[in-house]
Amino acid sequence: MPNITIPNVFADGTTTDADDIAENLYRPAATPNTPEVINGWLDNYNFASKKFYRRHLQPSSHVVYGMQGSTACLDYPESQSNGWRYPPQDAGDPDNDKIELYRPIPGACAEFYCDWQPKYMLFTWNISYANRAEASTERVHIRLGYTNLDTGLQTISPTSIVGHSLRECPRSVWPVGISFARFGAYRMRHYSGHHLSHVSDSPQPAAGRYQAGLYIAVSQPAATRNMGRVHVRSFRYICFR
Amino acid sequence: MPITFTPLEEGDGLSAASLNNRFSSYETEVNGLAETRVLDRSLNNRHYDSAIYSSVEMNWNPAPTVRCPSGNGAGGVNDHLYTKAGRTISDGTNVMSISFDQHPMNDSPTYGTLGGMLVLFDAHLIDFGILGGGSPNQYNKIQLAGIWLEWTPGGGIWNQIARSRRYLSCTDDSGGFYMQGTERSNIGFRTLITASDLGGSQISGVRVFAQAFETGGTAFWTSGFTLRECSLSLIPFYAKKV
Repeated sequence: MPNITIPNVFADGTTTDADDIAENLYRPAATPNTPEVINGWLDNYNFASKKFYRRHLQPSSHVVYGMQGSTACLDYPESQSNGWRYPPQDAGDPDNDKIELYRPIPGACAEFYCDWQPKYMLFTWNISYANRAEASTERVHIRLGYTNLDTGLQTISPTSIVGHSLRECPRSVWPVGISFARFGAYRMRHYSGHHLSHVSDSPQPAAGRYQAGLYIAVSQPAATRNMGRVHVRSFRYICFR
Repeated sequence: MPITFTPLEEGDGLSAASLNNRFSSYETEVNGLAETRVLDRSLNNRHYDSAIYSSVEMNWNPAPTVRCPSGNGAGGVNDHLYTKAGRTISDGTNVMSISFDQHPMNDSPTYGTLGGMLVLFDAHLIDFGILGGGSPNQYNKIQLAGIWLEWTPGGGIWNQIARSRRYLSCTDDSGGFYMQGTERSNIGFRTLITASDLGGSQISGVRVFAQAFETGGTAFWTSGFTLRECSLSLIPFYAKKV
């Protein structure tokens, strides 16, 4: 208890003792029972109202947040995905869906530093994308990935993928046989997504530097050329202590 | 009250009562600091553990920390198929709802004021249309997919949050699905459940509710859609009273 009780009381007609006076002012050995408690021992029991207010808190001391965005048009030919095929993890090759085959999307990525362990990390994003795809094996995948650069823990890897964040670009939105321009407006897709990482998750969110964002992979069909296109995107992160 | 003393002067007598009063003044102040004694922006995460319980009141209780990532598509988990007979999204693990201990919006001896709950929901809707049967002219009607958010005070009661309603529609004259499996429509909403939504009630769960509609035609055929890659997350902001 950091509440103090001044140890010595003086009475008229008696000689005051210097040690008693000194002890009433400062005596570390008696902490926290002397005014020495103000040297860093105060806690909520010392507050009369048991309250403090938002204005007492340092900005960003409990939340780290930021946002990125862009409207630039980005093309991803299948050659950038270095042989990624659809469907993933097929043809007896479990490494086919590995992160190395995905490419980060500028404007949908962020780097940030959080010097405390987040209780939650919330990522939300919006992206608009299209696909050249005409053949059934011409696909584009977009998914979230984030890495703690200090611990090296990744949440996107062949064995640990933020699965629910995966989106696959449609092959076509029109009946077979009706032709529309490749990358036409009808083929655009908007994707609004989020991911909430909790302290009980594995890997556990930790303090450190983070890279987070959306990644794209474009399949490499056997006989045709494929390409994905990203238009508008934005990406937000919020770390709650 | 701040501590103030009359300065001591040479030759003044110092009574025991005066001496005691000077010490007791420190005692009184230190044992009952007013919030005005704390400088603005002087406290940080060393003094206050979490922003999740971002109320103005000190001391806290672990809040419900519930999340629901689930619902993978190509990641390998089941689709969430909705039909008229089922009414609710079901997949055996009930991943589309979040339940937690009851939390009142108003003050109580146990809980402080619940400032709000941030709810995020994302899904893709595919295979939207007639599920089977009938001749082509009987498909000449409109199908609607409605999806919205509901909260419960417990006891099996679910209340709709009207502003969260989303509708998609399609027509299909030729049979089969209007939206094929790879032709997905993204549904996403972000909303904050506040005290006005709850009307003073407690809240103990949130879920996403989906329903299919048919608006006409010569016969009613079962329509439906598949929800996949669904995710529902919830962040409550509240503090326990001292």
